[in-house]
Amino acid sequence: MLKIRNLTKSYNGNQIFRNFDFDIEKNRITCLLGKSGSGKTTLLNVLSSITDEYTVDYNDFKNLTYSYIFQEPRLLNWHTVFKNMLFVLDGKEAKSKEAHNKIMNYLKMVEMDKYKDYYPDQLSGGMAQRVSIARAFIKDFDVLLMDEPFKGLDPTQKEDIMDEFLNMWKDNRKTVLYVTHELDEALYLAYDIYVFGGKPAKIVYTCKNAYKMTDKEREIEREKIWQILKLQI
Amino acid sequence: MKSKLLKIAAVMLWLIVWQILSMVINKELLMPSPYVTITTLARLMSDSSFYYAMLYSLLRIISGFLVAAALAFILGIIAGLNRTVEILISPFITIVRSTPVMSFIILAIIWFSYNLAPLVVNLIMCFPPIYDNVVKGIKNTDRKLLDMAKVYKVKPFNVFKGIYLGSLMPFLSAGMNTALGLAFRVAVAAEVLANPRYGIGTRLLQAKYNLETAEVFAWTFMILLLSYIFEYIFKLIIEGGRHYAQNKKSD
Repeated sequence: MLKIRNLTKSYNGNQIFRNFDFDIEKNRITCLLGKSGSGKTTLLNVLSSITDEYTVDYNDFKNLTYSYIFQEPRLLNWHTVFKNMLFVLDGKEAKSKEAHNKIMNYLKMVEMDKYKDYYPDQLSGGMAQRVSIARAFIKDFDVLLMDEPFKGLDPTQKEDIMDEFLNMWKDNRKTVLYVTHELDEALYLAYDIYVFGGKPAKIVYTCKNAYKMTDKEREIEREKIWQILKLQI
Repeated sequence: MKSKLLKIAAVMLWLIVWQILSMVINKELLMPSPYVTITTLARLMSDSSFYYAMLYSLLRIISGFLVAAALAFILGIIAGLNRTVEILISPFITIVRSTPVMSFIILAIIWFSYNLAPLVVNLIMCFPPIYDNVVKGIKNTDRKLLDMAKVYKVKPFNVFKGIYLGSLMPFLSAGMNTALGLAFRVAVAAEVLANPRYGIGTRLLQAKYNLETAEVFAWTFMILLLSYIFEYIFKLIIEGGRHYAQNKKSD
């Protein structure tokens, strides 16, 4: 279990979190579900230390290593796909022969190995996002953070990419914290689902072990969460 | 292909305009024809002093430009990352921008040798456009990419090389392009005033004294040609990095 206690964080004078407590199970995919602007991304940025302007009493997340799949691919346009992968590896590791094989391996898993010498601006949005998913897995991490990584992909592509993601995840089963506003995505990928809401943000609903549910139970959960989300406008 | 033909046609058009003008004026002293200019150029080229003048001018132009580029690159990066440094440097940039080039040339002649003065003025004038662009490039660096590198714990040197330098490149090349065009004009103007032993500017002034208008035209043509060649070489160097990508796109 990874815990954070009494997190308080303001942004532009608005209090986004006040005495916020949060636990996630290790080696699982946990999903944070909520409307945009509910503080989901802010929480990921606090956990990954992208921002350090916050106060907290207890924080398990502080000294962990992270990979992060952002909403946009965030690739370096002036480097090839291959060099983009190399960029996140450590200097020593990047020079080794295994690095090359490792990169090609992960690119193959997202079906991007043929494009290793392409530049990001020559790729479609979906292809670029595939690269950024491969990049996240090539790095050794304790926790993988994902911020609506499948947003803006067309539906058929989205399913393929989500399955590729699940396949890669099943290789190491590390801790994943995943943020989205798409209920169906959450029910498809997550083990535990937290619904976010309010200002300052609170967890308004918890659905544990979603992966074990029968189809019928899942339908009931979907309806419940849907009602909660609907009220949040 | 079509645009290339059109470009050639445009050059031809202006050559014809020039030819007609010289025929209408019909005074070689005022407006030598293209033919007279070319023969004058050929005559100048038969003398070794022509090449000395070219060589010395080019040395002043290129070395001034390169030193300015190196300084602007380093200071631009520091200023782009540090607001205090930027504010400290800004009066210098403002002064260089608004002072007439002639003031700098005259001061440089007072302070330095005739040979060195054009180079120094060239350096000073080339600095601001490159510096401004480098600062802009650093400031324009995508915050999101920097956050990404932070999460993945990329080492500072690699962040600089991979992110800052990459986003800087288009700005740097734009600034250097502007400065290169400036270098040719400023250095030659400074030579006209400083009158060093060898230099295109010196020859321009001599031609004026001797009322050799055709020579003025011939030297001017050489300056334009050199400027064009160097801008072309520069373009090739800059595009070299991206060339591969462009080729890939077509398959």
